[in-house]
Amino acid sequence: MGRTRVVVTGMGVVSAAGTGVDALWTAARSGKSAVSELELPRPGRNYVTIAAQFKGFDPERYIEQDTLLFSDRFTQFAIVAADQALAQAGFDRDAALGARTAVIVGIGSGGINSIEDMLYAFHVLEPHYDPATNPSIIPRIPLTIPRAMGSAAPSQIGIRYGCTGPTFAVTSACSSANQAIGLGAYLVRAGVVDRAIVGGAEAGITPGSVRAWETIRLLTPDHCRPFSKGRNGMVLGEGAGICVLESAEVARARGAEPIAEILGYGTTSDAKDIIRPDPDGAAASMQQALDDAGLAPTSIDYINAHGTGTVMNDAVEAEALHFVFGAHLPKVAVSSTKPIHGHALGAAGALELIISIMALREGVAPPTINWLGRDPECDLDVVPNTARAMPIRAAMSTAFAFGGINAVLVVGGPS
Amino acid sequence: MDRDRVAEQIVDIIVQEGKVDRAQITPDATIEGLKLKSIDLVMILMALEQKFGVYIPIDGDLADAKNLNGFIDLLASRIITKRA
Repeated sequence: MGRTRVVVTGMGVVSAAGTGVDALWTAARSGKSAVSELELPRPGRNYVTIAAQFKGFDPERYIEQDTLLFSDRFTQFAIVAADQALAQAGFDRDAALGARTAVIVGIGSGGINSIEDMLYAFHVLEPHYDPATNPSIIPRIPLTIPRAMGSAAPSQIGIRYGCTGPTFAVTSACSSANQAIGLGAYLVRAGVVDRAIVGGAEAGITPGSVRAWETIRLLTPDHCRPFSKGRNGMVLGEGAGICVLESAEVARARGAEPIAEILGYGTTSDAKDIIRPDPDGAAASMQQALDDAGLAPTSIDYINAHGTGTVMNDAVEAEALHFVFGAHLPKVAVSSTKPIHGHALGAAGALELIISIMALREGVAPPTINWLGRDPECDLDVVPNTARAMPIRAAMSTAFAFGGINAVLVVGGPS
Repeated sequence: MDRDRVAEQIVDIIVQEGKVDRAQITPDATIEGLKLKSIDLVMILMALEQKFGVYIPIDGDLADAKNLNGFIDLLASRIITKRA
């Protein structure tokens, strides 16, 4: 008897490109960046003035007031993406999915909007608080705990769809979503659950966090150009990507149409440096994902790279790709779509897995935009600036996080 | 801006934020020899930002700088260009 196969039966997205998988995929394929002028709730002393934000997001269109009251922006994104994914998988709000459904969501900074609002209210507004003139700070403080906790997103999805199985947040910085998806696939494969609602959610673009990112010198002030000469940093993004994973047998039995198959997952830790990435750890996670999928490097046609656009990440990632793919690497299309949707941190892996699945289904490798020319340290076919039509048998999506945690997924078409 | 004056201020910041002994700031000093790591670079750039009001991202030239004089020269150029 073969191993339980894990298929994707639903996908949902909220990103700077808008709501829906199509909005993100259309932007990625056409190379249309969702980066724009940064908008913040309070004026900050920020030098970087660009980000990939979903400016027109209107949560009230999708989420009831009693849920919204307890939901930070990252949870709102997760709920809206989950609604799309569950609807595509064929489940409505009355589904009561029960104990055989897990909910695992990757979270980077959790409810940092709520924390920053609360701290602003506490330190700045409350000392001068006069209820007669300014009642607006009241809700900011008591709702902070249920809004800010990282597990609010999986809990709210579980409440919405009656999922009583294993429910938790995974937090490993930029590898969070890939680890959440990989863990969900493991649980389905092991027979612990029939189904896992997985992905990642992030809404970390606040005055304080932009300041923190810019002062650790990871943000570009102008253009994010992964793997390119002249690159000088990443651009922040936000959003959520949610997938419904099911055992192929369970999906078939209920007549659900598989969109793709999760073929392999690999995760490793560098155990070296808290901020400096390591090519050995990154390569080991890619090799592990290939081994788990039972595939040789020659079976991979497209890689959606971590490709943040920082000098160091991209050089280290290129080195790791050379270790693993060797002589086959020139035949692999390797693109980073981060200049389009931004680096969505805890949600990044989910957005990028969904893009990889769409690339595979449509036979189109999305481009690495803003590319100016070859950097000898990043000797890769990055699909520069324009998408490429090509058959894709299997795709890899990588994530390499601060903390040295690496997580890689391999997907194939539904068979 | 006076380039020599900017360079002097950059040296002051390298000494303070990079925790470098001023006597080690010599014409043949290297980044590696001064044991300046990437996190020291981050602190130096933050201090320069506060002093000069310019955001200097880390690009390949800055990341690959080996020689201290070249490094100071690069920083001075970035500051003067951005302030212009």
